[in-house]
Amino acid sequence: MMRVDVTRAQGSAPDLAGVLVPVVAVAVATATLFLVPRSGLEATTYGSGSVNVQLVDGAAGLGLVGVSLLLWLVRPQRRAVRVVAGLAACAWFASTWVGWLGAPPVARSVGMVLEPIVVAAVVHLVLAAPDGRLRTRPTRLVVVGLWAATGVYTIGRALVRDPFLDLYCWSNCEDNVFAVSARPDLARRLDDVWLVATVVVGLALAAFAPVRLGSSSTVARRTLWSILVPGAVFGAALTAYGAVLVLRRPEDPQDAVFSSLYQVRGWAVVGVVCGLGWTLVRAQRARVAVAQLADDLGAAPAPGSLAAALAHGTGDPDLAVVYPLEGGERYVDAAGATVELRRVADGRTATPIVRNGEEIAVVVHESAIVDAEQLRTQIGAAARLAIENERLRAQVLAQLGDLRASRARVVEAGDDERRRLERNLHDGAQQQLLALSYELRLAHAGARAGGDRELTTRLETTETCATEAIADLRDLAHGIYPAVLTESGLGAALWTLADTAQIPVDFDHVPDERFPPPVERTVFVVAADAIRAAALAGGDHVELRVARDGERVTVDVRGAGPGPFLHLADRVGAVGGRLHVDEYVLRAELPCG
Amino acid sequence: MRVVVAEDVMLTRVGIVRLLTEAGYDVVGEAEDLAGLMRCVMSTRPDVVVVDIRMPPSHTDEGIVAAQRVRAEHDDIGVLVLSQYVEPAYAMRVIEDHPERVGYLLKDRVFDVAILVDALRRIADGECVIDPMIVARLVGRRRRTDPLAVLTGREREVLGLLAEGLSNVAIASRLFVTERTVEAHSKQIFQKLGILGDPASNRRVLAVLAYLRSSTA
Repeated sequence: MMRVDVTRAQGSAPDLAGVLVPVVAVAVATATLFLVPRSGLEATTYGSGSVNVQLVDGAAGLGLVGVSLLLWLVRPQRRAVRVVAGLAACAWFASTWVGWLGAPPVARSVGMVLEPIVVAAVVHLVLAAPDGRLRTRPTRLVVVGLWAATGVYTIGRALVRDPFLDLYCWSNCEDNVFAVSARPDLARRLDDVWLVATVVVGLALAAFAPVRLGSSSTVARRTLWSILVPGAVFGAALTAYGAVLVLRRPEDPQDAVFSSLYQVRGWAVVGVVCGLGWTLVRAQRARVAVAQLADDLGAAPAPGSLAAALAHGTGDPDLAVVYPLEGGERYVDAAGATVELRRVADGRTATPIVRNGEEIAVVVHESAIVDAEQLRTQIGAAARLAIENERLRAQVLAQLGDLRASRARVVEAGDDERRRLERNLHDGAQQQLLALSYELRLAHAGARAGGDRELTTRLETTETCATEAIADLRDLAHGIYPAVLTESGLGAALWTLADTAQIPVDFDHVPDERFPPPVERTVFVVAADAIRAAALAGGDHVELRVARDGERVTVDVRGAGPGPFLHLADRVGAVGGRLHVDEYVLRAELPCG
Repeated sequence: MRVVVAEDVMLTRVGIVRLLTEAGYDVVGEAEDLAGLMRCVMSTRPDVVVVDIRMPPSHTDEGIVAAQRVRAEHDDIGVLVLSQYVEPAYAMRVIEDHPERVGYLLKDRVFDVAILVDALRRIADGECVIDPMIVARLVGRRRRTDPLAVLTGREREVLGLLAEGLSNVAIASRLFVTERTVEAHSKQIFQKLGILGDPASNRRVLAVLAYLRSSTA
């Protein structure tokens, strides 16, 4: 009971700022658009300037309001960033209120307090790209520091600034209802420090974008650039504005340079807003797709379609669904291929789907687009059958893959062993026999010189035996493994095969190129066994053809007889190939990538 | 005659050296691998090198590589490759680039002093030496129709000796005919079989081997 209460208390905790700020932002925007007069404020606001300036002014402010509302809709749990966007909108419109001659003094004073917030808010939004979270410690520190500094500056200035005494005042030289005591020198010093801070923050923001983009994965970059690039432009414009202000005070919205810089800032904000909006719209689409998919997948879909459906629905083309094997020791995709989960690219998240405390699948998706929490809760429950189907199939396929690899390894190990045997025969037994044969010759010569006729005859016979043993051993070694295959390739080995065959072998074609050793050995074994079978079956000749066709090597042996060639089928299968046998042709197709 | 022996199996190397010494050759150097052989050849400048086809490090075709390198770098030094493989492909590689003063002999023949002495003498004379067993295997291959059927018995004999690398003079003395007769025979053989190339050049051995190897049917 207790726990339920606590949860509920947290869930319905007064989310005052989260509700209030966006609502106030909407009100401020509406008031600005409908209450503030369109003319007469040319010297004190940018918003009353040319059509272009008015356009960008409105677009940036309304865009920020829109982002705040969109965040509320798509990412309700990200309260901070929603508040920041709302504050940014209020601060953006505040500059118009400050310069609104004839407005209530309170409104102008509040505007003066809010106005500097724009910088901190935009920096916060850009640094929190793409999903509204400040991921690294440095960015968190920068943002917190910036907010604190902004607070100190704007509140401090409100307390000590007397607009009448401000040498550089331009937009509001009359009202400050918050002033406690007029300290023009302190107010000016605050302004100067703020100006320097603006220049530095602008530079830092301009530099942040290329660094962050450069260190991001391609996938993350796809989303990030739309926010970071306009963010960098905003930073650069901010720095330029600060620098110009140092040289030419007071500020003048009718001055071409100030006006241009204001427009650049405005368009940069519009850019950031569009980037955020685009990301949010994609995320919302993904959200709807996941929810809908959860419904659709109630029936059992074809295996392998889950990842495709999710990728299509969410608009994340690289989305992958993988399944744990051996209790999470390794992961495989729907086709059973092993996937390395420990290295998920930057900007991607691996979200486990858990059922009854057991991890049944992991969805690897773009962090900014697909909501991990939603995936966890909705997919797990509704798409259970689909996931279960795919998981079982993936397991079987993975086992099949393991088996295939093991088969290939067995064959390869057998070949290596044969090759070692062949070498050992040459280096060991054959050398000994050669030495023996040499000693026999010497003994033979000695016996003949000594005139021992019986011994001479006997040694002659022994010598012949030794010579035959050497020849037999040579044939045996060649039968165990043809060394020429490794050293000179298929062509030479097949020619030798034809030279020693019991029946004529016609060559149609043998490519000169070298193939991977397992492929060459398999081709040789197929040819040798087929020729042997043909000779045994009493065939009068065979026709042999080896050809490469793209990613495949094909061996045709015409006249090999009907088989069966089970051992050859095994051997060919071990390297992932297939053997076809009919009454005329034995054909082996081997992959050779 | 000054000889260098390269063979990594000690037993066989000692045997060959003993055999050569007893036959009156001057063994001026011994080597166990390709690099050692090349150094030895440079320092001793022998007349002939006797080299095993398989040597360290890879124990595959170092002997063939050695033969090609010695022949390419030293025109006056002959090479005899000893092999345990009846592989025409290897023999052809040995004589491919420099078809004179080289030979490919099966190891088990070497201990017949007469054959070894004969081979070394022929190599020193500028001929090439192909083991008769290689030639026999090529000629003896089973074919549906024998392309050599167009040859007379004597021509087949000449063809075989020619393929073994014998010179016209050597063939003539082997068959008890004149050199002119052998020349006529070889010209006739090349014409009948359609072998491209000059029957009098030193590349004729390769041409004949290639013909015997490639002719199908």
